[in-house]
Amino acid sequence: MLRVLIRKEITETILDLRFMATALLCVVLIPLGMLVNLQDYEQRLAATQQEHQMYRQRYSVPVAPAWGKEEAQGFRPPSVMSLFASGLDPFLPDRVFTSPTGLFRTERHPRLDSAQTLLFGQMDFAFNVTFILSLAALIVSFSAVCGEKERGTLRLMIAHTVPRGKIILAKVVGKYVLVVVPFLVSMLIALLILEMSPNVSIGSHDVWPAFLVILGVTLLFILCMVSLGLCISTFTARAMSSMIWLFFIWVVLVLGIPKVSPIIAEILYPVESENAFSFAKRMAAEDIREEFNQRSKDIEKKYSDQMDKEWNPKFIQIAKKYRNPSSSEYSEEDYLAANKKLNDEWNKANRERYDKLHAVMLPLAEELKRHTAQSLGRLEQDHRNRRKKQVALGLNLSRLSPVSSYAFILAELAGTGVTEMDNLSQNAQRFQEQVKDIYYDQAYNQFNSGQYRPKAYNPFDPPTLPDMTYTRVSLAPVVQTVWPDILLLILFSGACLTLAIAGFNRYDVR
Amino acid sequence: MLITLIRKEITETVLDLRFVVASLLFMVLIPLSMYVSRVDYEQRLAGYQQESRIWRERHGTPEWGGKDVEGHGFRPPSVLSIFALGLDPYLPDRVVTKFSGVFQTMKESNTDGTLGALLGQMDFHFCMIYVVSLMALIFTFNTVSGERERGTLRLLIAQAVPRGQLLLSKWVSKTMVLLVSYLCAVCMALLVLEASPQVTLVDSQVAASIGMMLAISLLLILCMTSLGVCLSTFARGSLQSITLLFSAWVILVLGIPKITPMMAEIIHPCETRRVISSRKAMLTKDLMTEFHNRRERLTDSLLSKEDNEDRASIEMVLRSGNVPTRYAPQVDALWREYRNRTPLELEKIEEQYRNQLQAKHTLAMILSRMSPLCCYSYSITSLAGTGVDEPKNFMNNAKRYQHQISQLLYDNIIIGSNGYGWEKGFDARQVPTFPDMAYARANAQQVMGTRVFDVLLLVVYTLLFYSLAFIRFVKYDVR
Repeated sequence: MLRVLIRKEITETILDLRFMATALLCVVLIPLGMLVNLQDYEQRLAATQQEHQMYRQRYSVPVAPAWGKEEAQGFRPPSVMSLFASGLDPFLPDRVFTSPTGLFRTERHPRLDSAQTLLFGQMDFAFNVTFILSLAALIVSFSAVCGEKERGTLRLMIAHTVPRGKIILAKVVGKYVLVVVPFLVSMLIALLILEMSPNVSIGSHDVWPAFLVILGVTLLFILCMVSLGLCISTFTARAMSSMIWLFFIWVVLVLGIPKVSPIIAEILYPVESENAFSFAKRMAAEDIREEFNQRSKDIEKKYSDQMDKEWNPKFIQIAKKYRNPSSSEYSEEDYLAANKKLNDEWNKANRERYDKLHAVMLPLAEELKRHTAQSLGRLEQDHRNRRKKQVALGLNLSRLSPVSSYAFILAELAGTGVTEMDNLSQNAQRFQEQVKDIYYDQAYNQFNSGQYRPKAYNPFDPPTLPDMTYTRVSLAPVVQTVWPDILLLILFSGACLTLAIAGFNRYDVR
Repeated sequence: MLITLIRKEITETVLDLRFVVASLLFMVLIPLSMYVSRVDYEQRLAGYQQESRIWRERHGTPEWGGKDVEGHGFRPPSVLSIFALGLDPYLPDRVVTKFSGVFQTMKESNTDGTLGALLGQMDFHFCMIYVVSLMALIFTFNTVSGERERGTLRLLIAQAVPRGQLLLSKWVSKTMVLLVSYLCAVCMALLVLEASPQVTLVDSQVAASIGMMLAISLLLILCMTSLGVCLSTFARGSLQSITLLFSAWVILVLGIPKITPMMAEIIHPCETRRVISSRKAMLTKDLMTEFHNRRERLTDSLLSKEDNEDRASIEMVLRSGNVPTRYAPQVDALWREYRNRTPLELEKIEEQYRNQLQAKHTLAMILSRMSPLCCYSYSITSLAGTGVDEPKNFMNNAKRYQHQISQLLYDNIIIGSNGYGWEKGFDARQVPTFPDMAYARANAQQVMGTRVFDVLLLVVYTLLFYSLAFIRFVKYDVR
């Protein structure tokens, strides 16, 4: 009986204009979006490679003499999976600059050449699903119950000995199949388009497991939307009012909650902006440096004062003794000889003083390095924690809508989500350490006056700067971070289905 | 008769559930988005003020006029970006002037609005494009087909009313009802804006732009309602109309704006700005090397003309890396030649690139104007100072700032005779304070001058949709 009902639903829907429209939109827009994104990805990849190559040709071996203060640049290649969800990709920095102070900085080159694309946003797979497919699923299913009631066919069906639960189940299955089939067809075309590109291979280990998860989650998301549509239709008596509620709920779920909740989180839990923070960091570093400079100056002054106090009288004494205008006991030669002797002694003492000074300065410089790293690390940690709290609050608020859960899952799987931020800074940190070993540890600056180097390091034959190897988070930890969202999607569709069944059981079919 | 018809339509629309839902959405979303954008703007403004103030305090007056001294110019956020954020999150917010003439634009990698970036920002412009346009379509999608379904259209036609009047009354009344709830929401939003201490609406420039934006927004609503009426004449029943509405909305709001610019990119692929700027950096480096080589050759040729006596002493000076005083005029002249040549060469690269971009830009503009929503976006974001012309404007401002700093400092530096030196009369220890970057934006009249085409196109779309609806309605089968 169930099969008959499902078959009836499917035939009915296929003959409907709505099915034609959604199928057409799916089959046109999803592959087209994929094609366009593929081109975009290839361009980004080519640009990164070209830039990297230029950099390697020109700057990868620093110009001799290299004094251990060289800046190395690391490039973040675009992620293949960003084809599916560009997520934060347009905002993530694409270059890392290491620095001798230990504070790497990241930069994003503004891609202002394609102003229109930035203005209207990209049409990637995630966008197509959250906007078009969700609306399509709702439109296919919104009049499933109330439409049939309006036409009067529902009465006839109820008159048969079919349990109501079966009727609603048949409707869910029928509608779901008819949204999923065009979606799968369009996915197939999209995959063919991807496979044609020389830069992307679906069979590679980076792509297919993540792709399968994306596919599964998308099917789940469509189920959410279909059951939501059915749920709406069982709670309204007429197709017209059902349609209006549908649009209302769609606007709230797709446009309202996801966009408003981050801002509400920001208002509830304000964190200073990244600009202000990096400024504060820079200033803190400058202040520490200034303080140490002052200390080193004081020490230097102490030593030179000591020298002056010790030696100046001696020079004056000689001058007085040998150049006494009242007596001509000594000639000018005698004075010069005595002066030279004294000078030699002074030089010796001065060298000793330098050695002593060096012995004091070396720990001071080490302390400066340590102190800077510590206090900046503390600042950074503090800021990051606050930021994390804010993001978590925003995430939880936005999870009221399954659409944002879906968006998070996809962005994380595509390597363009919130955790990619941390991953980027970890990669940058690793790169910084690498360059530090090669260059920055080879020298330390003695504040205002020169620097010291270990003997093994030859500044006239500087080693090549390494490339940054960018590692991405593998699939298992990603799935671990997104499982609450997947669970939420399941819960949401379960809740909608239950509500739909409950609503339909007491539905007035007259 | 027309008035009776309009009154009937208005009562019908007001009693409809759609009116309640639309008003609710408008009243909640538009003021809320305005509040959110206002808070965001205030934060951006505070960030800008803090950064430029601290920079001015710490580095505003250089202690020493060397060639490593940089001037930093900051881009203030535009007040009207509250209405349309547009390209603002992508525009660089700082210009760093360089001795070489290749100024650097910088953007702090902005990771604050992580979630906001991921889920998109909601401003007035977004509300208009997505919510209001959808609501306008929902208001009108079954004006004709719905009434046919209910059977009331037959009764209406049976009266001695011309079909044109019937259609006009439907369109006018639906639009009026929608506009009333929309304008209420906008008034609330403006009150929210006015409550901010940072924003004043009475400023004539701001007020003119806001007025213009509202006028264009009203035009968009007219355009959308006439599209809805037009769609309703193409369908026989409500369900059919919904499908049409859905397809039209997806294509006009989601499809065309997002796909056409990328299509243009595929048709006219361009090098990225990054590649161009590294090319420029390379060029200046090459020019410097060329200059040094030529300087060497020049001194060699000058040396060969000297008598034997002078030669030895001059060679000694040359070996120490300096240029003897008697060669200074020639060598300095050579430097001046290079200093003048560099910007010209850079401009050449820039020009070539601009031409390349222009072709793509024009194509993208033309293609995307197939959707009235794009015309609307272009005019609103241009008015807000965050539109597609803003990158160019930013570059012009940056160029002006670089020029200013060049005049103050870089033009006075000579890499000619002795390492590097200064022009006569310039005291390197007394460099004047660097000015703040004066960021010029086009005012409302100028923007309208460039965007008049888009506004006209909106009018044309409205008329087109309406006349199509009229033609279809005249031959509509009311049975």
